[in-house]
Amino acid sequence: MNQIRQSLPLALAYVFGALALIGLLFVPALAKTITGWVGFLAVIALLIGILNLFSVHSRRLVRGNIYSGVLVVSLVAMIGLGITDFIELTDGGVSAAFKYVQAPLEAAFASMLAFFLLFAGVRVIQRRRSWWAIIFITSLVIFLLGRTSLPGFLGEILGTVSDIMTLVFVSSGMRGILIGIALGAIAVSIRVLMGTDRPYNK
Amino acid sequence: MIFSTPNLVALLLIVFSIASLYFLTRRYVDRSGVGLRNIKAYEKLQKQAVKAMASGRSIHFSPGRGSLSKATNPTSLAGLSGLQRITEDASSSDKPPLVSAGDGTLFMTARDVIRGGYEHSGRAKAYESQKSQFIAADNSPMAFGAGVSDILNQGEHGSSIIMGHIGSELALMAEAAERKHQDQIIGSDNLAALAVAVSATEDVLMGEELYAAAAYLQEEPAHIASLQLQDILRILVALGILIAAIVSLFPRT
Amino acid sequence: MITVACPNCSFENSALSRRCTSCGTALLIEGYVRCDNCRVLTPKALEFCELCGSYLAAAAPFDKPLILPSSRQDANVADTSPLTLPANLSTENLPDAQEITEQYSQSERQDQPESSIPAWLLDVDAALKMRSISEKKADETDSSSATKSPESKKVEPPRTDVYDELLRRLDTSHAVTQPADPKESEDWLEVLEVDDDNSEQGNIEDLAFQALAAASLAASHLPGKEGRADPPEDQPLVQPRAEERTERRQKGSTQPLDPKGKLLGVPQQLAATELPAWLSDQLQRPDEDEEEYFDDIELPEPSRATYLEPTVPDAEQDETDGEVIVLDASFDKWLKQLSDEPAAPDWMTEGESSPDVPFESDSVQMGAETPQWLHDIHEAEGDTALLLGIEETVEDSGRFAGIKGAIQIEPAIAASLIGTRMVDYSISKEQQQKIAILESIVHTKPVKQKPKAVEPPRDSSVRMRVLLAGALFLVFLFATVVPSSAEWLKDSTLQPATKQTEQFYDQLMLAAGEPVLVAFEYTPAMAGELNPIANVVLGQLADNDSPVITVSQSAAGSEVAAIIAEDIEGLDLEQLGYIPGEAVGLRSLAECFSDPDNCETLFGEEIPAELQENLSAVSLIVILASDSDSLIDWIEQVGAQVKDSTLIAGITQLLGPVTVPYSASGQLKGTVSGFPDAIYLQQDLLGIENEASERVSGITIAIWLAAGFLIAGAVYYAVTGLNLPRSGKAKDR
Repeated sequence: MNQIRQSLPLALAYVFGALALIGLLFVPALAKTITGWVGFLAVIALLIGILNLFSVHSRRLVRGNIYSGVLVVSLVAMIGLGITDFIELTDGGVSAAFKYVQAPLEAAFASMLAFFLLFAGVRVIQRRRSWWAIIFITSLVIFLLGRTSLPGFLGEILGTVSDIMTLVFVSSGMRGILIGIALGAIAVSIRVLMGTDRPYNK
Repeated sequence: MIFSTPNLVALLLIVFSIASLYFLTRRYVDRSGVGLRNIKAYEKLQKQAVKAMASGRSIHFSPGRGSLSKATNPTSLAGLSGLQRITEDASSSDKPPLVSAGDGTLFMTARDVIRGGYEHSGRAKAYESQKSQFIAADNSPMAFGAGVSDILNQGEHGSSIIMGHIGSELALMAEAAERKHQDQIIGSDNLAALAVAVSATEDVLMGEELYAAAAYLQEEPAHIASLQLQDILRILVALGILIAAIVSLFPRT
Repeated sequence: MITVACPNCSFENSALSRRCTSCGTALLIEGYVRCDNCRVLTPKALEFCELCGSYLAAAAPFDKPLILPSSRQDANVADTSPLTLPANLSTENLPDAQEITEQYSQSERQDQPESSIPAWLLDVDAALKMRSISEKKADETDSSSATKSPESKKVEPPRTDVYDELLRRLDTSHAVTQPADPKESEDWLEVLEVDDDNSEQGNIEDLAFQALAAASLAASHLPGKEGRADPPEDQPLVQPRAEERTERRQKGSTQPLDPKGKLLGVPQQLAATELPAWLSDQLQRPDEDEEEYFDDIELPEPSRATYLEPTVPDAEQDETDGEVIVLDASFDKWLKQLSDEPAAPDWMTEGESSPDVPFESDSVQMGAETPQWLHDIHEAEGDTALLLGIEETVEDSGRFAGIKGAIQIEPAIAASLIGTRMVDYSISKEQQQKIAILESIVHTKPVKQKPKAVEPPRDSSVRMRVLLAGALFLVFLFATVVPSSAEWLKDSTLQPATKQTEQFYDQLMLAAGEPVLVAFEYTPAMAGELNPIANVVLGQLADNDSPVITVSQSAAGSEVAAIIAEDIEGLDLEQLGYIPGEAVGLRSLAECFSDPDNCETLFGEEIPAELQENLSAVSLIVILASDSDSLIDWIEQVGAQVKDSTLIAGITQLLGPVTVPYSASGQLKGTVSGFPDAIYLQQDLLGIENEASERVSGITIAIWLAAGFLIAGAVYYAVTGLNLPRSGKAKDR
């Protein structure tokens, strides 16, 4: 029984990996079907995750955490709005909640990134005194000032340097990192297809 | 269309990769002649469990928000390798790691990895399901970042390990960890996240270093062989780029 | 009456008292011990209680020499290990019989200090201790010595001169003479052979006590009975049977006495399993003599053992019909000896007791063989009883007939036991408190302590954060409040990428009137940077009367598209919605462009015919993306398949370097990267005036401020070196 328990997921991985590969390369309909199944499983997993979120914060609410209470109430309210929209009790309730609550909140969080990134930059100067930190700060300053048009020759120089940095160093570096990421993804995927890497049987 | 050139090239590449991985795995069965360069982040990661036991502050681990049903699957699997190692090391302590996932499929797999780590250590009864939680969906990165930063702001953790697909919302988490003086180990396949990570900590796993997690932490022959495979493919890609660049120098007739 | 003096006030108290009657001090007198039986204070020097005769175990350790009556001898002891006289004992300094007797008697008395004991007796005492060791050695060598023939032992000739002199002095009347050949002598003294194994300790004690025993016997000068022939002169006092002697010799060394619980130094003959020959001879009378002996004696009939009945023994009950307690053989013999006395005093036969009559050895015709020590014991008992004022009655029946001082057993046994009520188990208050404390400890569940977060050290960077954040906020506020700042910074603001933006504009204008697919691949988090681009694009498409189809690979993107489209007037909008599966989904979507007949359903959703037609006629695909994955998926999955459509992208400034290769290869026909490009597109290319330029000035000032902070910090920390480790690496926390 134990062997079946360990062998069955591996067998399924072999079968569906091969089917997906064949579908992607040769039989698009097969790939579409499998993709549909995957999407369905992803939604189920999302529901399980939401239930976990609900249970965790409900427990915290019982222990007296008010913010968890706000989360629980918001979660229930959004689900309720979705149901009422579906049964046409309300019209555009979810969209309104998204437009007037979620979107501004997400935008606010995103706007804080600027501050945090600036803090991190200053912290680099504060805590690390090495050539790499100096290069880091120097390139950062050059790029920032190069994007703006400073008066005089300084603006020209900084602009030219920032363009070269962007086109040469930044682009090539990013491309190299992306190629490495792609190759790593290929290696991991091959390991999963061969069954040597089993995230499902830990 | 079905047997188009790109498809055939892709198939050829896949077959070549499978065969190479197989032969390389057999070659490294006895793990001899393998030399991996030191990656400081992995060395520090292996010490986190001991540090957690000594300091009494547990570890927070996040495998990111990459769904296993999307192209971020390999990145998430690499992060789960790190989670497996952390769980096995920390399962014998009274401070189990807390895991925060940003996707439903990743959340369920992470929970399974944690439970497997406890079973591997022979402490299945000590497994607590509450130690892994779902934060937000993968299409709400800021919500995920805010949720994780809230966990880190509580100050119960001594270190924050983030290995997986994550974006610029990493800045929120890094700032929260920095305020609570927590050790940070960050690995991502996202360029924006890497830019933030470099300024937050020195222990950064860039791109392919993240995918080497299994080789450094579990040291299985297949994992080391996959590193070799990456090197082979990288050489091939470099050669291809070089050849293409040389060819492009010649004017087309 | 035995008295002891109080150590405190010297008041004479009864030996039975525990505390002084006068001052109340506990009578713990040094040199005295309490008898375990009668609790009388008895000097330690005595081995027996002077009141009840019990053995004082606390006073006399087992390895000290003890002399007991024959009744207490261990019948199993058959120690024939020879004794040796002390070396300094010679015929010259050998004490006479009287002196030996007196000295020995004195040593038993309680009032004689130990110093009066002759030195050679003390040597004997010391030798006894050594004897126990030698006996153990003898055990070990027993097996080896057993194989030796008796002849192989090195036998030293006994010191006949001393023996002779000793015996001579002890018993001249008995005319005990030494046999001509000491080795063949059957004298019980000469049975004692020098044992080479025990040569060191010499068994001095055995010889000495035997000598003393002989002395006492001689001194008692057992009267010979008329008609009885005196023992022949050539016969020793004790004549063990030849067979027994031979057996003993053949055995070699005898079994050593077990010092524990046994009595060392008991004369061998006295400790033998049988009585000495002289005693047994006296006991074993010929039948005719016995009959003749008892003719004149009217022995009382043995009465029933009345000690089992709670009644006073009736003198008339002279029948033995009760259980008889079997005593040990020696005691039986002793009693029998008493009952066989030819001339019992009148008081014994008549059953009358005369407690006041002291038991005098001379008046008790117990036979010539009664040992003197027995007389002494009786005399002492009589004296003790007188001293303590105890009236001792003579038993007239039963086993103890004729014995004074017998304890009446029947009252003790027959008395009904009055059961006393057991003390109720009670718990004191102190115990109750202890119980309560223990219960509270055991049953109280420990409160689970929440781990307290370690308080981090005071963070000096809080002020820095507040300063930076405040400064940036003020900058944006300034730019918003002061609109003319845009004019001041017009020439210094962020420069757009004009070429790419113009290409974008061109493609946008070329698709006028044709269906355009707009992909919203960003979340509200990036809405601040991409919403202006999206507004411009949708606005222009609406002005161009181009049908717009919105699609997204995320659910949030679809909602963003809906929100933006609401504010655009005159827009012909169709929402395709959420496309799952990322690359696979986009590939499936791409098939709708190339083969519209196979595009009736898309991921389970039925596509209307008009939408299918528009999809097939899409000429421009606008990708609004904030992450590289989505952008790359569109370019590689859709752009590679759809040759007839043009791809342009509105992206964040972060993705600018990512699109460079695609722009260079022609896969992307144009890009609008970030806010500056959007302003340029809107105002310069499309001629639309809005407040976007004010925001650009604010951004420009903020960038300058940030750069200034970084430069200032670098200079400051480089000069002061504050909080910077020498190693140049960050501190490990």
